[in-house]
Amino acid sequence: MRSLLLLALLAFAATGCKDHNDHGDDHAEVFAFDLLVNNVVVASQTGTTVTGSIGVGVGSSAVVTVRLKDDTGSEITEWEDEVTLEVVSADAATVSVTEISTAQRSFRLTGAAEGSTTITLMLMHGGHADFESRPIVVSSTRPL
Amino acid sequence: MIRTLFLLVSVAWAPLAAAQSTGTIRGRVMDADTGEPVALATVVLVESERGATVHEDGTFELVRVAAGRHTVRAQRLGYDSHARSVEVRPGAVVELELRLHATVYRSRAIEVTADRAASDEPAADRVLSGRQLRQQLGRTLAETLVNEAGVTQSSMGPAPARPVIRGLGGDRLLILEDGRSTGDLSSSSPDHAVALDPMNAERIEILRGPAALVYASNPAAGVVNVVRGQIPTSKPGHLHGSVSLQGETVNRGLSGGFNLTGPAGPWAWKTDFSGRTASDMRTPEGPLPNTDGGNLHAALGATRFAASGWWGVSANLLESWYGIPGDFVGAHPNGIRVNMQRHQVDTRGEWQPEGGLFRRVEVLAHGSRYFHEELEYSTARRAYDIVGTDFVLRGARLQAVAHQRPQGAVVEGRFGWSGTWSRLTVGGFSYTPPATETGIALFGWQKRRWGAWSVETALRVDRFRVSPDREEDSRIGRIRTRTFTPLSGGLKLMWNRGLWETGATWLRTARMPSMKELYSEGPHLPAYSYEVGDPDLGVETGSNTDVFLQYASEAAAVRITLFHIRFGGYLYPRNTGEEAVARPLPIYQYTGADAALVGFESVAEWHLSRNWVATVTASAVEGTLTDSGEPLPFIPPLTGKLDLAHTRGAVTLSSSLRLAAAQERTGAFETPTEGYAVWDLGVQWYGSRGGRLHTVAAKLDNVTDAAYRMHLSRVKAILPEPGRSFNLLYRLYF
Repeated sequence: MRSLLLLALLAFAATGCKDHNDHGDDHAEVFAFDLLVNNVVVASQTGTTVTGSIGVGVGSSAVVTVRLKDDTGSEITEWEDEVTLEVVSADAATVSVTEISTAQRSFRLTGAAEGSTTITLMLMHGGHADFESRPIVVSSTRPL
Repeated sequence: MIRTLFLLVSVAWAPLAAAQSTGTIRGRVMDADTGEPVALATVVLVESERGATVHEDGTFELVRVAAGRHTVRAQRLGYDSHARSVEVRPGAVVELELRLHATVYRSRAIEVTADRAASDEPAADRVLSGRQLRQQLGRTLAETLVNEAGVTQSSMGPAPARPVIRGLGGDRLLILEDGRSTGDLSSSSPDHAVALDPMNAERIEILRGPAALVYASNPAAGVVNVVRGQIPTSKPGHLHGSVSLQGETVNRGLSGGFNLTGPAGPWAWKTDFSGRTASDMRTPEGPLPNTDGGNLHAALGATRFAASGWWGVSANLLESWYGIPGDFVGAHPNGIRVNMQRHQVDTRGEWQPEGGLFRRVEVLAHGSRYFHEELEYSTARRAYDIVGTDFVLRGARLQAVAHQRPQGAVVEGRFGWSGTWSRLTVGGFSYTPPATETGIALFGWQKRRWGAWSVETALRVDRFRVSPDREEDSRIGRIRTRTFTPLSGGLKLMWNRGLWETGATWLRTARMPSMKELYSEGPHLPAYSYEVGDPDLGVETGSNTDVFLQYASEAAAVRITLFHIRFGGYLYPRNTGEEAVARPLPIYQYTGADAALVGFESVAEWHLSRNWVATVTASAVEGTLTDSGEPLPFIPPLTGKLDLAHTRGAVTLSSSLRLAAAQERTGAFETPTEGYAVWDLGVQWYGSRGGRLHTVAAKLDNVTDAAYRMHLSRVKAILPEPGRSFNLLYRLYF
């Protein structure tokens, strides 16, 4: 009987116990952001509303800078240390995303083929997305 | 550690070992027509819920039975159960012969009144076991129960389905395993699976009315208890067990399990294991990605028996993994993966005093730890490795219940105390603060009978306390400790004469807001919602009234139940119609509002001939927010079922037509659902070979491959219910 109980406890303990993917209590309170190309705002999200879009030529690229804002409209200049920027293209065959830099708060868009797609920005923190943007339209056009 | 555990068990067991006047019940179970032994029948002492398995020669023995009157019931597949009342005297052996009649017709959903009265068992409203359980055995508890009258299921995919009774689920429907909590978070969100697999269930009980208050203050929809018997309550004569194998084509699913129980000196032990794996589900509209899943469940228990009781321990673990489909409005395009893990330890004892007011006293201590993580898909890394949310729930329970000895008009009573502790911490992207919940309860339930009349009464008082680790002001209000002291109770009056029975039940339930409803703020991705709690929520009270009328003979049976439930401060997540800024998810605000549900359930059976049985079930419920007159969301439509079964010898053929009306009476931002008719076929066979009992249950579900949707599915927009599927279950008892 002693062996049975020992077996039960060993089996119970052997499976191990996972624990939290802990994270801090403080999160970036992002309410809005602007996307700038050459210091000009080309697209924004305020609350849940997106305005504007980004254009890039096929075979060319543009560096896009991200400016985060809180709910008073003030720029969030200090990003938390653990926050990283992630940008995803819904169709990398049309527009690809490269050179994502959290430090520079920027990324590069390259037009790969003519068409239109969307990109989504995420602020990653401790393995999860603290903020996920609405889809932002990016058009890739051939120069006239 | 082991030494300490043994010491604890020994100390607890010592009083039980004291000499006490007990007797033995010994006997045989025979076929009434042929006189042959009925091997592998189960013999149960109804009042103490102890049992034994009948040996190949038909004999059985129940030792150390407390002196007094007991009801002994024998049952086995293919036979009608048979109960006898016996008087056990100290030191004496009661010889008993139980003769079982082969089943020609067994009422599917309505127990014949005379049988119930004979046993005096505080019966559950519905018990699913044996052949019915095998025929209905599904991937989940909800799928197993969904064909019962008044039962539907809420889901977010094949794995996280949960039963809904009378339109009520979540915290209002208590799901228990061996009489204690499953220790999971399935009641808090539709994407959380119930942490149990029905594969190794001995039986499933549905309990409603005042008796349900023994378990909790909030069983507005009732209690579903899955009995696995992880801690043996009787000592078998030798090794017994069963092996199961199940497969289904709709998801290329395969599952299997076994359980073994045996004696070892004064001990009995039991172990069981089950595993399940399934690929993506096939629907009539094509396969649905990210609906695969699986689980593993293992348990080991042992019990030491003494002259006046027993004491046992068990440990079990469950691992489960499944997907929540995506790719619809508001959802993550690739869906979500969920991994969960639960560990439980239990110790349970029973003392059977020789005389006095109580015939047995049960003590239960239980501890569990539950981990659950929800993973998003990373497009960049092409893997589900972004932690959306994770939960750790630790829980403990200590409970003592004294069972009143039948005396005079008292048929049975249960009086007890329970203390609970749980702690929930939420990680990942959620602002829900860690919090601890404690509860203490005193409860009593009693059933009395005077001739044709019987009365059940129950009273329960709870004191709950929910404490966040840190009290603070937040965007949703002041996060602070809340204390509740709700009172609940019930009264059930029944009258029975001949084949007729009627009765009425009134039940007051009380549900305190959960930690999630009070404190949460953040996205819950698998539920595709951004959930906002309200720290000021109060207790939800329910006033349930139902009346029923039943006629049950061997030729026909009808039961109709009408119910009305009025809620004060009905707690539910209200879709605000707004979207969260941080994530593109609809905002659900936890709210308390007065509400009412009204509906009916009906079952009718006809014994068309010696071998043919027809059954018709129908149920409907309508829910309304009483202040605004708006419909309550997630209320099932009118549903029904037409069954036709033919039994000849060991073979039963069945045909079922499942029907649901369209649901167009929808809550705010809820979409309507079309009606459907789905046809299923089934065949069952059993046979004894070499002292072993073989059973086979085969089903062809959704014969016409109809595309249909359940109204309570949160993902119905993309997820039709399963297409045509061939299911096969083989089970061997030995």
